[in-house]
Amino acid sequence: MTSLESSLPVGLGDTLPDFELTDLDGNRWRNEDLTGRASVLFYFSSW
Amino acid sequence: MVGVAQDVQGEKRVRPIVEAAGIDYPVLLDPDSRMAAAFGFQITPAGVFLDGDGRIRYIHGSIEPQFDVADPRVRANLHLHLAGREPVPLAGDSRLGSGALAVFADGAALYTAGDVPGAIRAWRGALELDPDNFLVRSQIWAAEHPERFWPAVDREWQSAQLKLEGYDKPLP
Repeated sequence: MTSLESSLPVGLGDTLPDFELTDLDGNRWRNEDLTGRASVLFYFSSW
Repeated sequence: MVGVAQDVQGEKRVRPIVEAAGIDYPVLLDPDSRMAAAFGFQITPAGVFLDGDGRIRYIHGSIEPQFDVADPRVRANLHLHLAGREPVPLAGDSRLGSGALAVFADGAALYTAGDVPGAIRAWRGALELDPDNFLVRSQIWAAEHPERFWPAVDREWQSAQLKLEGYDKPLP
């Protein structure tokens, strides 16, 4: 296994990698939808 | 707050828990964990704090303490961040850039195409890269043993299964 922190694409001060995801209501979200005010991404799962 | 759900099964698994938990903020579906792969998370829950320019100010990916919004330390950090102040680091950064989640995404594509055995083979490969990765391990378990996860998560079974798989640390 390589080490580690350096091989991660993002760190503090970076922006998120480009993404496009759909929310539960079918709306598409991209990077620019997470700007304009402070936000928190909450990664979760049913398990 | 914006949720990012990691279940490979997508909406059919995510909507029930969102409704049961009374979550009233947007929830994005990230079934191949590509958005989590950038951080190399090993468990859920995890948190990423963004400022108004979309820059990452804080990452909470640790196993102890977990990113549990009921934990007063986590709540304090949320309040600090939303007030424009720096969160207080709570633990060593346990993220691993093993590439396990990138391999996981390859398996997720197979799963979506209906090739569940192929997906599980790919995910086992991801787990070999990073045996501590419970995003990957739990997705394998949930695909192979859905009855242990829905309608309720059976943690006792998970602990026993961990031992069967030769993993010598406790279930996080």
